[in-house]
This record gives sequence, C-alpha cells and structure tokens, in this order.
Amino acid sequence: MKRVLHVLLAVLVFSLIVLPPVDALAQGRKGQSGKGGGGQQVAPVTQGQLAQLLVQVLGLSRLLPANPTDFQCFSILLDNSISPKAGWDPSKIVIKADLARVIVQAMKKQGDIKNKDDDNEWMNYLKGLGIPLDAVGETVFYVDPLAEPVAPHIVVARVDPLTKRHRFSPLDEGNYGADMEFISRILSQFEFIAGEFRPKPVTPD
Amino acid sequence: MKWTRWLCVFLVGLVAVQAAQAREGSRPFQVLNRIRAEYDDNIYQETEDKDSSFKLIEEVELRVNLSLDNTFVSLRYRPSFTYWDDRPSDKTDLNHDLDLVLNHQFSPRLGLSLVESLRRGELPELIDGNVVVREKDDFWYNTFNAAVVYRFRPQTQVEVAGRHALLRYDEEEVSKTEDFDIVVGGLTLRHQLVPETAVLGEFRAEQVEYEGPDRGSESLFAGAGVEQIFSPNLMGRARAGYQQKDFNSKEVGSQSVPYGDIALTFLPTPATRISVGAGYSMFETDLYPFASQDRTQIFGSLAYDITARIAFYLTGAYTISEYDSSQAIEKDMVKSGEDNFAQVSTRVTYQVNRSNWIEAGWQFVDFESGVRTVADEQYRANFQRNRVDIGWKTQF
Repeated sequence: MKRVLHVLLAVLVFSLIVLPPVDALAQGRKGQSGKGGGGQQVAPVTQGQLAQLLVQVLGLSRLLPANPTDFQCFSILLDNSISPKAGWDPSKIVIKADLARVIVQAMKKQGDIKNKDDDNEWMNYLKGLGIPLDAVGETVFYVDPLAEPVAPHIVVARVDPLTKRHRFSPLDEGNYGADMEFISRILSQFEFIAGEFRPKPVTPD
Repeated sequence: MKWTRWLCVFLVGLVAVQAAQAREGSRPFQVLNRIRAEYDDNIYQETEDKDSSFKLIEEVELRVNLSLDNTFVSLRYRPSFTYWDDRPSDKTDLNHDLDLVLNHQFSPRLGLSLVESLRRGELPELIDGNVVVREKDDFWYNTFNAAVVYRFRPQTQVEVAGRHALLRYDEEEVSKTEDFDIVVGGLTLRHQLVPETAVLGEFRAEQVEYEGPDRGSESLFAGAGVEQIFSPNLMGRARAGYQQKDFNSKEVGSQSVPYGDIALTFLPTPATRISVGAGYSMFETDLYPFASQDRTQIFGSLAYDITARIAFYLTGAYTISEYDSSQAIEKDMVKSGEDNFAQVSTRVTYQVNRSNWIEAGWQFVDFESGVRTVADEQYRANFQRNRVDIGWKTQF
C-alpha cells in the first residue's frame, strides 16, 4: 500500500516540475476580478469556473467529493434548478445575462421574474437589489448558502473507494429534499450465539 | 496522531492569516433550527410484536463560509437531540455531525481540496421486555479526504487523492468485530474531449483493516469513465473498471470482479428535477463473518416545485447485498445468501416566508434477509419500519 502511495506522490511531483505552464488558466483567474467588456461578456471566466464558485458559496461542497469536476458541479446545480439559459457548457465564457439568471436562481427568486425569456429582466432584477454584474468573482459572493439544498448524495450508488459512503449518520440527512434515515446496525444470530442477547438481571447490577 | 495536530494548526493558521481578506457580500455565518415531531412504528427493528414511540427531534445547524482570495473554507456543525416518548431503556439521544471543506488554489494550475466529516452517534442499549436487544452502540465515524489537482492543459488535469475512514464503537463487544480503518490512494487523469464530453482514467488502491478477527483486504481498482452533457436539461456520467481484492485471510483468498456505476440528472420541466442511477461493486460489510459483499444498488429521486412556495420531494433506493460463504472467515457458520434493502422517503415543504418552512414527511424501510446459518436458521431478522413526521424549520 505504501508503495502505491509513493508512486502517486511521484506522479504529482513529476507533474509540478516537468509539465508546461497554463497561460490560459492564469488569464482566466485574473479575469475574475476584472471589469466586464462593454457588451454582454462579464470577464473571461468560463461557466465551469462559475459553477465551481457557486457550489462553494451555496454550501454544496460538502455534498460533493473533494475537488469536484465541472460536470459534478453542473449536475448538483441542475438538481437545484440553477442553469444558464442554454444549459451548462464548461468552456463557454460567462455573459451577464447568464450570470444574472443563475444568481437569481441561486437566491431562489426566479418566481419574481415574470418573463423568463427576457434576459434584461433577470439583469434588472439584480440591479434593483444593488448586486453588481461586472465581475463573476464579486457577484457570486452576494449569494447565501441554500437553506434547502437538493442532492442525491445519500443514495447515490458510488463505487469509487475515494467517495463511497457507509451511511453512518446519527440522524436523518436530507437526500434530494427528503430525509433519509440512518440505518441502525442490524443484529445477527451470531451475536445471539455469542451472548449479546442476554437476559436482563432481575436486580440491578 | 501527531500529523492531525499539525494539520489543525495549518488549517487554523491558513484561515487566520487570510481572514482579513474575506470578501464582502453574503453573511459568513448562518444558523438554522429544525424541530420535528415523529411517530416511529418499529423502534427496535423487530419482525413481529413491534414497539412504537413518538419522538421529538431538535436540530441546530451552524454554518460558516469564508471566501478568501485563493481559499474557501466551509464549516458545518449540527448537534441534534431526540426525545423518545416510549423507549424504556433510554429516552434521549444526543448526536453530532461536523463537516469541514477547505479548498486552496496555490497557483492557476495547482489546487488542494480537503474534506473532513465527523459523526458521533448515540445508540443506547435497547431492552425489550427482559432481554437486551442490542448492546450500547455509541460510535465515532470519521472520513478525511485530500485531493491535489494539477491542470497541465486547460482541458487536461491529473488528480492525486487520498482518504482515511474509520469507525469506532464504544462498546468492546461490538467494536471487536465492527471497527474498521480504510485507507485509499487514487490517481485520476481527466480530459475534456469536447465541451459536452469528458473522459477519465482512474487507478485506486484500498486497504481495509478490522479491529478483531481478520476480515481485512487489499484491493486494486483500474477503470475509465465518461461525463456527458446530452442537452441543457440532461447530463450523465458512467464509470466502469475491474477490481482485484486480496483478502488477508488465506482461507478466503482473492477475488476479481468488474465494478461500475451510472447516474443521470434530468429536468423534464423547469419545476421538476429527476436523478437516477445504479452501481455494482464489491463492498465491505457489517455482517460478520463475511469479509465482503457484492453490492448492487439502484436509486431514484424526484423534486417538484408545486408552487413557488410548496415543494414535493421523493427519493428511493434498493440495495441487494450478495454474500458468498466462500468469503466468510468462519466457514462453518453461514450459508451463501442475499439481503435486500428497500428505502423510500418523501417530504412536502411549505415556505411560509423568507426564513420559515413547515414540513411533513414519511419514511419507509423494508429489510429482508436471505442469509441463513449452516443449521438453516434465519441469520438476521427481517423488518419493516415506518416513520411519519411534521416539523418546522427556520433560518435565523
């Protein structure tokens, strides 16, 4: 086992030393704090990066594996009815209309939008609340964690040993909005044979 | 345990140093309270002559979210208290849930993610009539995940991850067969082929150790997966591979089986969300003397917003656990067989205002065991259990 872990560590060190830098990612990161470019585009932030930020501020990270993929973030956001107009696309650059839409949905205020096809209404709604739409990294932090998060994290059939669950929760956990019960240890006949089912003494010990 | 102390110091230091850089916007602290009155028709999980009880469940949930320039920290603590109206052995339970998430971006291409989950459960000795049905089952359960991800191209990343899971029962009689430690190491290479499709290759090594009689094993996993966006309202992922498990017990030997899982998320209408999936793999088991089980699981969940204020949720899972007597460390005790476990839960919520919800729920569990002793006796008791509750949730 130790040998395997050493190999994994060696691969990581190799990656850090040998592999080339990623200018595009660096630029994307800088773009998070930049200003929007005149038209619809907010900043060079992809929808994948936006989804990663949203699952953090919405308190959904604990329902996902460590370092979730963009797809896992999209999936849990979809479970919570949070999606851009044309759906999630990991490499698509975020525009103001999509940012406004997902932020309003994350605030669970989509019921206040009368014409859901009108991009301007979503943007104007946020402007009315005083929430800026110029930078993704700034806008998402106006959102509070979801009080009623939806995720199938209890019953999901995970086979990956890094993420599988053992159902040890002392009380109900919300699973897709419904409570899933902690399962008490089920007793076996073996325990009866071993004397675990013992008569209660007539007088206290 | 020295490394855990250093880890705590590191985490606290990281938060303290960067706390001043916390962003403006949402509230960093949240407090939620949830109180439920519940009727439980089978508190001891008995086949016949069931004992029922009303109970009162009080939960407080404290959340802290810190968003810093390169670091995100999320802490959730949920103590809960249950009062049982008619449970003679012990009328109260006090439980604790703690979740910590820390994500840190060292550079645009190197990130770290830590996830810690701690559970403390009270399951007191259960006495039915003059018989102790179950020993005291108070337990600690903890998992710690660490993942380092390195993006060497915008579409390609490698992840090195590790996990430690432990279970500890307080009662010696229980812990000597049930306590375990699981250590996992993993490597995942992931590549985005096109915007709608990503593929991944994975390698995992897992070691399972039990406290008492040796049901432990070492496993190697190798597999591949795909994540696909089919349409704006439908996305899915699938994974498949092969698992080689070498048991510590020479009598059990080793076993190789394929493993796989699939999951789909679907939004047929803006107000309806559906999630379905299935999985199959070898899995550790709490059923002594078996060292492993072949587990098949299917699940489905539905969320439907009836109105802007009323939501309906339904979720269910069905699990088949297959046990082979050749994987028992004491072969003269049990025959091969399978356990079937069905679980259904539903809940309706009404959002009274921005901070208050009232709710009603029903949960059903059906356990049916086909595992028998060599003397052809039932090995575990079948049971059905219903729970019905109403409650009030508020966010301060």
